[in-house]
Amino acid sequence: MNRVAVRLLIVEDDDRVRASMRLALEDEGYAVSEAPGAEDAIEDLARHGAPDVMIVDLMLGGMDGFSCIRHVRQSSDVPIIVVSARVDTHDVVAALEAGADDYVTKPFQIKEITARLRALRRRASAVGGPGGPREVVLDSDPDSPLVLSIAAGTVRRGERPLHLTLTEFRLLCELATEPGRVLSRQALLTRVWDRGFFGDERIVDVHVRRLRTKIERDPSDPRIVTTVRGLGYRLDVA
Amino acid sequence: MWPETPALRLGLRGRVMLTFTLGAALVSVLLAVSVFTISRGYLLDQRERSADRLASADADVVRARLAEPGTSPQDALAAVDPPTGTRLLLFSRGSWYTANGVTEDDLPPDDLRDSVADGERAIAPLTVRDVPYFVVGIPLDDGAFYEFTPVIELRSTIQILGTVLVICAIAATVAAALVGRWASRRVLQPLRPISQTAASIAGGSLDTRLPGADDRDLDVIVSSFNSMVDSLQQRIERERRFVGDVTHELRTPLTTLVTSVEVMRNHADELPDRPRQALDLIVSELDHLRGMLDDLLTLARTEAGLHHDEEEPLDLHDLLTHVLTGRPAVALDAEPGVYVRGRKLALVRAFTNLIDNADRHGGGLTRVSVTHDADAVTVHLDDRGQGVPATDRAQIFERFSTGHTARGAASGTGLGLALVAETMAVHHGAVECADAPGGGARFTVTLPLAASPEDDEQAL
Repeated sequence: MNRVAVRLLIVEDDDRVRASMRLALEDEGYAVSEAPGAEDAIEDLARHGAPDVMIVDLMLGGMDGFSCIRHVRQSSDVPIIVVSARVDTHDVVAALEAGADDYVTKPFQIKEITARLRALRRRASAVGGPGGPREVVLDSDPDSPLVLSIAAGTVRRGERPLHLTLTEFRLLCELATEPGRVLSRQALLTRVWDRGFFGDERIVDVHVRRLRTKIERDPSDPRIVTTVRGLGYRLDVA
Repeated sequence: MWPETPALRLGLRGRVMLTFTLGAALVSVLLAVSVFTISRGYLLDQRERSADRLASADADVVRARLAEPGTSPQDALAAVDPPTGTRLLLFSRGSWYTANGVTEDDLPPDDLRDSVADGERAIAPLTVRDVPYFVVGIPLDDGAFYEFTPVIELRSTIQILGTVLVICAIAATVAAALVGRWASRRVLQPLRPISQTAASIAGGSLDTRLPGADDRDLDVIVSSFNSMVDSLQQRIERERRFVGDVTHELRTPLTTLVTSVEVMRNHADELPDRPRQALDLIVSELDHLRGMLDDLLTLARTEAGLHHDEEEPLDLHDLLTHVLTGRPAVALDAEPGVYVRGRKLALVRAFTNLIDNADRHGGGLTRVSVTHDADAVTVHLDDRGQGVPATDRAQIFERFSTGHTARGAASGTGLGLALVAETMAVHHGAVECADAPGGGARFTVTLPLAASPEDDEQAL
């Protein structure tokens, strides 16, 4: 790989897990830095700026993973992969709601992590890449229209730009490619997250919720991204 | 064991009703009998006294007339004017006299005549030609005076009284049975919410509690029921936490192991031959360990009703197609559009386990077919192995059973089929093992048929 290595920040309190992940991911060509706790990670971000991707364990000593993600999200849209030993609790949903983009369950094989990393990176570059100059008016309110510019990678409400994470932006773009048509959660999971049939559809649900809080006038009564019970989601253009 | 007597076994309601009925019947009968006895005694006594009084007065008249010289006994008798139906009889100077003709049969009974002859007043009931009488005998100076007072109206009064009492007793018994039925229903009414609540808790809604009762007796049951559910819930939550803790504690070191071994495997060509062989052993055992941990925790979670995805309508054709990806040798005989309701990941895992099992013990699957009728879907999974001996067929679905059966040669986790059985059970289905038509084993999964999501949508 000739281009600049992708920078990862691993936030994990277990020294051995962290060290083994570093070994494995460096083997895969990533530039890895480590933080044993949430506080260290926040300090790292303040000092060196955001990495390309963060990998955050949820069970940390001191500040927990959820707070860490929320804190990072205040200032950065960096893609975040959560690592959790517990999938049966609400931890995963809570982490996604806090702002994580995807998750991996312990014990993982390193190829699962690299697959997630590739999906996130693919999304990041695809969105910024040559998709053609295209704008979609999501809400034609004359005072403050909501406009998605796929090529520019922005969403504006009137003059004000909305801060979407890359995943939220990509999700909106997928829905906007076929306005008025229902997209199943499975289809969205495949297109946005590059996850197959066995993926966790809660990821889609939580991201739709997060997206709604940012673009809908009343997130509890969504008009732009509507739920079609039992089938999936649909973008309604006013 | 107690001998079974199903014919006599009554429900609680039946017993309450029976108790009421028997109690009321007993009280009514006792009451009726005593009322009848006392009333009858009183009425007879009254009548006897009045007959006695009347006879005394008449006897006085007869005695006075007889004392008058020249009066014949017949004249003396004629001086008395008895009420209708009353018959008079005079024995005087060795002969019987009567006002209205008496035959020999009408004479008072011998014991009465003997008493009177001895100079005593006597009174006795007597039936003459079906007419009941009180016969009062009064001794005279040279004979005796008998008066027959008819008591036919008294007899009918007593009969009516008896009839009325019998009717009352029956009515009271029937009323008590009805009251008993009502009372039993009313007493058992509060048990209905208890049983409904118990059923809903058994169905998994552990947060359900009984509302407080204003009845003091009932409140005891309600509060002990609720505290029982509390402790049950605590226990389940403790176990849930334990499962979570075990998960975390075991998964973290396993993560380090899996990740580090992968690094070593990436560099395997840099290793000498013997360490590389050892590494291969580690890799395969680690896979085994990881599979076992996964199965164990999934099994524990399935049993505890823990899951992280929702039930949804699943197209079995799609699901099996994905599960069978990478196995072109397996013929899938299924049509799209046959839905079951369930948790996708759990069912995927169950079918994957059946496939793994066929790989390990049955030489691989040959055919998977889906059929359905009005309310159930049947999936047959046939393999090319030796089949499972009939005696082992129930056993293979138990945990860690591979070590004890003929199929235990290969190294499964010993939990795969147990997980299949548990998963099907929570989906209201079942799994069985039989012989496949072409030899080999046939595992048959049955699940309830569900409506397709489109139909679901239209039904809303």
